[in-house]
Amino acid sequence: MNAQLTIRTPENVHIRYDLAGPGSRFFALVIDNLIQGLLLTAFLWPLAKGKNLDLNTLPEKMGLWDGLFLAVLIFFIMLIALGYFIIFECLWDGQTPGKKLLGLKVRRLGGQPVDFLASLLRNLFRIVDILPVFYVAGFLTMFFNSMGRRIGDIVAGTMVIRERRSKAPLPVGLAPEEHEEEIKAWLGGSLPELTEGELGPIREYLRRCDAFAPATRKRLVEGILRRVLVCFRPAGPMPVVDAEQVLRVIYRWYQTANFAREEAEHGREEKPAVSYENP
Amino acid sequence: MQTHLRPMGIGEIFDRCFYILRTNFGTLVKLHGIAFLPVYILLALALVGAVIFQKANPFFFQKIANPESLSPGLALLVIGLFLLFIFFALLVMAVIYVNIYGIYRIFDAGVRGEKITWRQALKGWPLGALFLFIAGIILAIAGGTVGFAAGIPIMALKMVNNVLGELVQFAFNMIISVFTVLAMPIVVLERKDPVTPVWRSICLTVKNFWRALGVILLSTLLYMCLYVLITVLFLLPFFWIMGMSGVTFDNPEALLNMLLTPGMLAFGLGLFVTILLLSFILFHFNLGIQVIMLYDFKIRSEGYDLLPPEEVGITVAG
Repeated sequence: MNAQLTIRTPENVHIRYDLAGPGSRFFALVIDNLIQGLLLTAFLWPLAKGKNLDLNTLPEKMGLWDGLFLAVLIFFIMLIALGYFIIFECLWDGQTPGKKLLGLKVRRLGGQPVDFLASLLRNLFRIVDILPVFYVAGFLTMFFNSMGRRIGDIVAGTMVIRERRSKAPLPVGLAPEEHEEEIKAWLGGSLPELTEGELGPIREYLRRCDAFAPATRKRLVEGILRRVLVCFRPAGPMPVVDAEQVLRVIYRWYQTANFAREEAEHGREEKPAVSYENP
Repeated sequence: MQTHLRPMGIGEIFDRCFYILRTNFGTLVKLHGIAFLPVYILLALALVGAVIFQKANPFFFQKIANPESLSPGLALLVIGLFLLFIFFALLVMAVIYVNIYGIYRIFDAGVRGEKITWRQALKGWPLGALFLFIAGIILAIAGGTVGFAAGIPIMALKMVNNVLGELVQFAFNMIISVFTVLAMPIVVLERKDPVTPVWRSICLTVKNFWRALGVILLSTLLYMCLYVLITVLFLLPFFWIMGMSGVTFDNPEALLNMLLTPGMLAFGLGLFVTILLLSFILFHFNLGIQVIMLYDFKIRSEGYDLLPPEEVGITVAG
């Protein structure tokens, strides 16, 4: 279990956020710093080299254009160092390229998207988080903070959450099985109500079964089937040799029934609306 | 199905490790204190004894440097001190293994969404720590033998092309580290004998090689950034100040005076506390990450999360 935050909206809806910890945030930062380094090297190095700027020259001995050029150079360095985070967070819904790759997002404490002011504050305070070197202050604050927030986050009232990557509802093609009717009849002919505890392992197994070795597949299928068959009333011995097929049939059967039920519920919702308009 | 377990990304592995470390911070501090208590007591006694002994025999160390001048009584004392040192070293090693045993158990409970006390963590420690110790020796011997066998061609390669040789050496060390990374937690958490975990570790990591390599490389990077660099970067100003004040190690009095100035005291205290805290966090983090990797690989390769633990066919600790 990772750190989580539950927010209750005025409509009494509970929204749960998975909070990002120091580990994933560190890797996102490493990726962002690499990109920043590349940007600095790609744009500013040829400029500085072309201008042949001697940084050891005293400011009073520097010409107007040299001074102006140095000012623009410093501005660009700051823009890449701090502006990079602010620009991306504001434009990409709280994500920088590093955060996007790691599936992280900056959010305000209430769950709202981060705005310019919050982004500006949290990134200005990076200077404090970096102290004394390599984000040690930020790391220790994040480690001891129950929501994994660094100093910049605390000041700006933000947090970093983990994006939920949606899981495909249909892990397999679920084409009709060869002995489907035969298996259904063996299972008792009717589909009982299955809980998430019974259906979850079947779904997860079907999603990941290709990664398992044959012996592991056999052991898992037998284990899952043994637990799920308690809900059915199987008549006699199993009609097919392949136990995995039985799992697929149960899952397909459940999905078809679920789909039909959802269709029926949608239909019921629409009827009153129509009758209201046309009494 | 164990709903709190699922395959994790590398970032999630690190986050969960830090989360378990933070939520069990007090227990880990207690465990460390309890496990190391005999060492601290003995260390304090040894220090007091050494100071008293030094005052009573001011020329003792000069006499040791010249063995011919040792009387039989003093020679016996030197042998006794040497044996005491060996005992102390063994005690420290045993304590470290007991501590590691407890840390693995705490992280194991954490991954399963439970919290245990330091007493529960140390349940069954004598056998567990002994197995860990034997497994450590076996790993060292196996690693040493393989390293020796591979060392000769690598040495030859280094003679031809040093850079290429170093790269091959690095790759070889990384491969050995990846394959054996889970051996120690397996000894504790699956109650294996101390010999077979190496093979089990190889079986689990071979299917998840790149993931394991990624975790090891990134944890090394984190360790380097947070600990090694901070130590180096803190020590550099210290030597710079020493140089600026003209103080050298040859003049201990001046060095002491420099260290006792309020600024240097604050600097030293800050350095000490930061490094202590980071060492504590990163030491436990490195062990915790092994436990979480073990679970992640079991989930990915054996479907550990799909059945209750008693049905998966693997004994869990507890």
